[in-house]
Amino acid sequence: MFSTPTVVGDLLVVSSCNGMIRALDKKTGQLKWDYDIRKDGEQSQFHGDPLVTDELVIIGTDGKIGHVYAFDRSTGAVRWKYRVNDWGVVSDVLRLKNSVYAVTLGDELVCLNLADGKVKWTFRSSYSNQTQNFHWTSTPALLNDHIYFGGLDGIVYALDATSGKQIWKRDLGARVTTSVAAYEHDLYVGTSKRHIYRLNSGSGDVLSDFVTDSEPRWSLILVDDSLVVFLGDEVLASIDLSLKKVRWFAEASREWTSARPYLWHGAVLAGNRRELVAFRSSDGARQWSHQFPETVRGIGTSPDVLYVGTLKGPIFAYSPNP
Amino acid sequence: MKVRNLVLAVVLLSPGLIAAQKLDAPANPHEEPVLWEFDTGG
Repeated sequence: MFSTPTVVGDLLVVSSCNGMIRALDKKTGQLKWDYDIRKDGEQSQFHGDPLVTDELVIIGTDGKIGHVYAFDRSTGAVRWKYRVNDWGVVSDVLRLKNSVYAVTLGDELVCLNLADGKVKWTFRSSYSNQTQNFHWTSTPALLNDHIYFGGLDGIVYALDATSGKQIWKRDLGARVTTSVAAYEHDLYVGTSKRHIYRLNSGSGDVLSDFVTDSEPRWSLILVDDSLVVFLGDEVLASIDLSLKKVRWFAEASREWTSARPYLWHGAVLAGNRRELVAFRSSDGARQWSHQFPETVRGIGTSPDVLYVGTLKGPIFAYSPNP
Repeated sequence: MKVRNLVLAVVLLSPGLIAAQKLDAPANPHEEPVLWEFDTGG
């Protein structure tokens, strides 16, 4: 279970790597609705995080094919689905006004109409998948009616979010390996050659270039005045937003296993195999941990309860008692 | 005689009553932090 279990009102939406998406009663764990995406073709996985609106849960799927699905959040009925041929979608789904955005594994950014899933525009990076190797695509960032897309071709593109028209692009020379994070006027993005860059969102100019020991991965999380990121398999680091110094870092016993770092009540959460660990976001002090019977993956949050997804499937509603 | 039987009955039954109350008591969330579990199968 890579995708983050997500609280949707009284429900918890849980999507698995066996083709099932389910809504559970978040208080009891009782099943409220489910849907098997395998009935729609050769696809069985969910990796990105869903977008939740007042009525819908919108999420991407992957496999030999994939879709972007919009489920009625109360009943699980499919309101619309958008078919993707190039292995599907592993990015998170984003929204701006009446548009939703997702990135296919063919490195195409698609903009769909929120109401019916009709394509508004698409934009494909210059990436060409000659080897058929699977590379994780980057989740874009939205800022001031622009969308910032980090391509597998190593280029960050700034597009008008309404029209898809390109405003600028910046070649970083290596595959983008993290989500794009936006803060005030700046963008942050990591690449496979072990750099994290800070770009000016208006021009694409490189403002800072931070060299890391290992490849930055998955999602960049903004926490107060820091950027929290996994570096390779073993390091969780908090870096100041000017990209001048590492504020703190923590090493996993073997590897960090959660799908991304999570922020909860001033703590950064991450799975260290079967252990869920909480670090104080300001200085990285270890606050508490809990052992689970399976490898920790996606971690859903609510004010009082964490929903801890695991590699093999069980999900635990967990109320920490630090 | 009736009073003595009543006292005896209370004495004999009370350990069971106490044990049942302990078993039926709601779980303390601070002792049982996992509230529920659901196996998604994958």
